[in-house]
Amino acid sequence: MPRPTRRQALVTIAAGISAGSLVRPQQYTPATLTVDEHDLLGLVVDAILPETETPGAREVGVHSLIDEDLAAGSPTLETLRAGLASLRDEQFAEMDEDGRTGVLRRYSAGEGQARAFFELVKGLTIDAYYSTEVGLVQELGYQGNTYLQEFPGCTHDHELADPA
Amino acid sequence: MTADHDAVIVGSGAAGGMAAWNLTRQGAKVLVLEAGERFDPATFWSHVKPWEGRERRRRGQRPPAFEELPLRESPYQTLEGHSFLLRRVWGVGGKTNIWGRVSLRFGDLNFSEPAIDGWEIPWPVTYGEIAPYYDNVEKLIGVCGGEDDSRFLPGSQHHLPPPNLRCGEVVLRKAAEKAGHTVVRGRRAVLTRQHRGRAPCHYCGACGRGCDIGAFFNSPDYLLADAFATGRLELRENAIVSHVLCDDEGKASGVRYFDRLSGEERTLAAKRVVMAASAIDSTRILLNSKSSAHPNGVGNGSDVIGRYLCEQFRFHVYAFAPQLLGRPATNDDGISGGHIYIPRFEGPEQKRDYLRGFGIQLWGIGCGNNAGFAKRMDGFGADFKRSVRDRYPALIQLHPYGEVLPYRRNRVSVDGTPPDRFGVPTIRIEYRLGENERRMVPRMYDVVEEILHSMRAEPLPYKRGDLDELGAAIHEHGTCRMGEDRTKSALNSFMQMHEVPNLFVVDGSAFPTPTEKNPTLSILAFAWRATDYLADQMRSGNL
Repeated sequence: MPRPTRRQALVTIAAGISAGSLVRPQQYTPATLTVDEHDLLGLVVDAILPETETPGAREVGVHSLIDEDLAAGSPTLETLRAGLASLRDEQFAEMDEDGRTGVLRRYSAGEGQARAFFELVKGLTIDAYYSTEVGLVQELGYQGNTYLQEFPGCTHDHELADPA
Repeated sequence: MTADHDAVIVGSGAAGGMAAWNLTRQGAKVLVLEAGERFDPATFWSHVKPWEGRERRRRGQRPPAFEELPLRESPYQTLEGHSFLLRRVWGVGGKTNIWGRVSLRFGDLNFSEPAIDGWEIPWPVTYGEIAPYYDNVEKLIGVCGGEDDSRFLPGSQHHLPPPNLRCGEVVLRKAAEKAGHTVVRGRRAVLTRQHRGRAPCHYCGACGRGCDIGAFFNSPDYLLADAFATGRLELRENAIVSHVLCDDEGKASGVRYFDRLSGEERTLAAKRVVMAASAIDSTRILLNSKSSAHPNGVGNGSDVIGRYLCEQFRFHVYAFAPQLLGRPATNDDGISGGHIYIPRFEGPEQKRDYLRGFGIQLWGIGCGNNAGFAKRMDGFGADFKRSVRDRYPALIQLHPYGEVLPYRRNRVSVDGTPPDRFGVPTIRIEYRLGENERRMVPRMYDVVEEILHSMRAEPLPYKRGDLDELGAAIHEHGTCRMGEDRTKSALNSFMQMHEVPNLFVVDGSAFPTPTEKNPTLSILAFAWRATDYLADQMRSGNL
């Protein structure tokens, strides 16, 4: 059975993405975070997984998905809130891309609360982004969970040479 | 009180399903008591994409909660600082609804080794005695696999064709062979072609959420359905068995259970009782079944029941195959889980500072339905995102499983507090690894690293010596073990209690040692053999 190329798959998928599977951030009312926290989180997730050939995390609504999953009163929420508060104090939202990258790099290389916040948001962003149709299918090219008559397996055996 | 059935079976998973299937087809009238309810395959989320799952959850829908019931109804305790992950499924079919499907025969080496190295008691059964039952089970349930045959992993004439290898498996196999290791086709109870009228797998990769078409072995579809068709099976759901009841002579006379819905306590008479509630839950019931004839729990004059808990310990190493970096993504679902396996390769004749050994499982290779691996990659931003995409098809994983020896101190008791809502004592697990396991760990890491080096893999950060949470293999054994010596074992080789001839324990608790292999195929073979014996004894009037 011929398999679709990545490009064919993407064209098919792009045509088939239903509007309902995306969270539209501008229409989303945060359930757990405040509106300001939610907006700021949108900037952070977008710095972690920005727009490339495919949409970035903010456009996909990753910050809203994270809010949706947060349980009130959880330690996760406390870490997240504390980190967002310190980003607000640093005027993260007012910075340009380089400025935001610099702050997050400092957090990721740091210790204690800053590092914990960065690792938390990075993990939540990865989980949420790559669970969306944009992240999993459009960006990564996932073709699974379908019905196949035969499982073709690896068809480019001869090409898989060891690297030089 | 008179017994309506020839036998009462407690539990409906691999062991209980096999007992019900084998006894009913031989003419016996059987009652199966199951703590949970039937899972409806029409409700499985087998074909729900991650983003669709989120939509469904927003609408308040949930997939079947396979593991929820026992945690709520029968929580367990562990010693502080010594966690043990006990995963159970209460519901018709038990864990076979969502099991990993790895179906490896124990070999002659596995069966003979305890007698050779002297730890702890010998198996009462040889490979030659159980081999015909492996044949029978494989023919019945359908196991795909290769044509390999070794003393570490005996071959089979009955394998269905193995699935093709994923790209990462091709690379990994080449690398492992270059490092001197034998790589075989995985052996999995998945139908790669039609088998006994059942439709084959359609490679959707969602086995862990339950199979909507029953293309892998599960007790309801493969055993209980046939048993029902005989007209001799009655299955009672929501029946949480608490005790085996005994008469004055100490023979089993019935069981007590609680109706989970009404909360009512019920007692029923039984001529013969077959325990198959999974290792730890069967053990709990046996230990709670104290009577004047059995003050230490039914059949426990030897004080071995609850002791010698053993399973496998494991760890996980993730890496990227450079041969696959940046390649287009492929559909790597296959039959979900590994299509290849590295069997154990060292025996007692090799000079080692530990007993027994390990095999390496290789699941999660290639393109999956998430990118969780990215959390352990450094960085963020556009380059990071592209790097994740490049690595997505190149992910490989190695999962060594090592045998944990049976130790008397590793035990299940009914000292858990508080008791369950019916007042029945709950489980406490005391479990620690020993010196033998600690000695095996560096060797396991060495072999994993040899393979990674051989393919020039780029590993995700790991710490040598780290282990998965104990219990995570979900292969509990040893707590009601069989053996020839009745002072050191609770069951004979037919899984019949030494002290209570009309009480059988046919689940994984009967294995005196876990081996390095996944047990379900062996549980099915042993339960078949035990219930053949039980049926013979019934026919000849001995029981």
